[in-house]
Amino acid sequence: MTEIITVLVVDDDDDLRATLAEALVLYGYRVVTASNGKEALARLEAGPRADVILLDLMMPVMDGWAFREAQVKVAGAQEIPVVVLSALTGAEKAAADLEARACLMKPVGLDRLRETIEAVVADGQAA
Amino acid sequence: MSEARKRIFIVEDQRLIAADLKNTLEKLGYVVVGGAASGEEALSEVDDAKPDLLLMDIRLGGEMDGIETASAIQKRRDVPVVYVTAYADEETIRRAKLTSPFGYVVKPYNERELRAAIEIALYKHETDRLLADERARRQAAEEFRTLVHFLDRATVSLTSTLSTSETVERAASVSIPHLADCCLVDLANDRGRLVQVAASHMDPEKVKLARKLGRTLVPELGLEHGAAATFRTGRSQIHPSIDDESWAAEILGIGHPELLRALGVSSYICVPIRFAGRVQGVINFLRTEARRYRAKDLDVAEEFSRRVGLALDNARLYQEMEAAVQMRDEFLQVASHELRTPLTPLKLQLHMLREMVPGAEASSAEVVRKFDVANRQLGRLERLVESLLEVGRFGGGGTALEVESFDLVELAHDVVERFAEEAATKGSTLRVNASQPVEGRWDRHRLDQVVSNLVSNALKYGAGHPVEVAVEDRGAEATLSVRDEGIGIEAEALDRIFGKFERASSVRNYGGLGLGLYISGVLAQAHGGRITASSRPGKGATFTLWLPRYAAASHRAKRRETNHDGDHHRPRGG
Repeated sequence: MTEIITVLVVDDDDDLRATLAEALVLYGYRVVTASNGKEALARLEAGPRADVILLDLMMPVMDGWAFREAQVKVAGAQEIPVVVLSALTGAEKAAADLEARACLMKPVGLDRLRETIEAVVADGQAA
Repeated sequence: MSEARKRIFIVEDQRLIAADLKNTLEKLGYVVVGGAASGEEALSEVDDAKPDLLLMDIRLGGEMDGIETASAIQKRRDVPVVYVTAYADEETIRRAKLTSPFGYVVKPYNERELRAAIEIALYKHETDRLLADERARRQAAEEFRTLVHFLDRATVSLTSTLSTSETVERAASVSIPHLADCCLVDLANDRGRLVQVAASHMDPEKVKLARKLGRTLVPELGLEHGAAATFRTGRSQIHPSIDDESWAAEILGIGHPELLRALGVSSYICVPIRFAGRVQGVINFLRTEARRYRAKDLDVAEEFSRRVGLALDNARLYQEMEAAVQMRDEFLQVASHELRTPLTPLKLQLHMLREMVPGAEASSAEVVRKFDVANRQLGRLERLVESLLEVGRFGGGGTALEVESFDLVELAHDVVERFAEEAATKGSTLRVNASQPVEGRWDRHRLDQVVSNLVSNALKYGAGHPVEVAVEDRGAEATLSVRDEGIGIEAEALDRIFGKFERASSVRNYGGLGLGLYISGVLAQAHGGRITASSRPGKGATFTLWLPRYAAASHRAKRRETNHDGDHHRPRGG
């Protein structure tokens, strides 16, 4: 893959957000972060376009559910695939309800995280 | 018949005949307790005289004749009458018959006839009385049977629900018709005020009206009678007649007493409902004029209310328990969410640190070893968090199995392979003993958990001796046994090792939350199976998982809806 993949990381935990950003940059991704759904919407509107959104569910201000509702209304952002990353029991079901492409349970390992992102992005490009 | 001398009252207007009768009767051994020359005189004196029998002339001076007099007296006293008369015409006899006379003596009488008439009358009267007593006893027994049946039926109905609203509805409906024609139940609300919670009426079309009455039955608390008073004092009330509307309004505090007439009720009982040590409400029973309440109805009403109280207390305890379970489940969910969140950056950071260690230096090996320990402990922490949640899930009312057909022997091999490295480290040989595939329908993931747990325990307590996993086909059941030759388990500890947080060994020697066996037991039960354990201390232990081979497919435990299933209930924050 020649193009750099941009990942929008949406999580209210500062350490996790920083860690994810650090790890993903290490693996060659471009990373944009937001600490809640509202910030994430602002990032989407400001650009650059994200290729995948890593979305936590339980967040203050605007949670993952509300973000999904709003995301589909942002021009050009409707189709960006979402991977739910949550510590919530039953996150799989929530992810399915939100039509996320994948669901990762916290704590996730780096390898699993990378595999999932690659798969989701490849899937989006193939479609 | 009693040995006491019989008391006779004479009603005769001819003084000579009266005196002769008195003489004759006394000679015959009777006591003459009084006499009267007219009906009026007889009526005024007979009550004081308390006679066992009236000797009555039919033709009397004064307004009333003997037949009218006898009829008037019999309305007040149960006393036999023997007529002494010179007449015996058809009309007189017809009229006399209406007073159910016990005998006739035609004048002029003789002693023998008189005595025979009196004795027959007394005997007949006594027989009638015994018959009436017997009938009354039978009726009482029948009433008692009906009452017992009613209370039994009421209890069955009341105790077959654990919902408060359903219990009070049933209380109102089951009390009809035995105890009431209209029943209204009031319970205290959160602020301690009585609120109508159920209403019923014989006529289903009047239930709405009954509800309306019920709402006006709960007046200000200052009154000395009525529902509010019973609620305040805990004392029952019986008002056989509440026909007077202004009285009902003023004394009982009934807001719209005209409703009583519309409902056709005019007799009232109010009893308290007690549970958890205090008055929690009242039951109002109302009946029609034809079935006015009597004192004994109050006893029944109180007994009924006592049972309603017990049922409501049960419902309350059940709801409290449900709430506690719900709270625990919610807590466990929040707790596991909170525990997993910091594990995530920790795990990622460890991974990145590990990759930063240069491979060539001598000190690297030591650093890598330390990372491995940290990583292993992190993995253990992750599994503990998962276990914690499993406990909540199973304790909270079960979980759904995802059954499929597979070979238990194959699963045993999978698990053994996964534990090969750990077994080698501990110095134990670990092998599967099975001669043929053992197929069945089970939840593969859950059984993997169970077998892993049993194998992990066997290695942990196996003291480096061999561990064997045996799978057997036993017809309708399949068994998987994990046998070690380690320290074993004391007999007294065998029973409780499946309990939550129980471990047979001491805390100092072995770590772990002790949830594994508990969860394994619950998972086996979810399959309709069980886990048994046998051991001899010092000689090792064998844990056997028993599974019905195909029953599992039909087993689907009740799934409790937890609060992560939708937008409405999800917990906020963190």
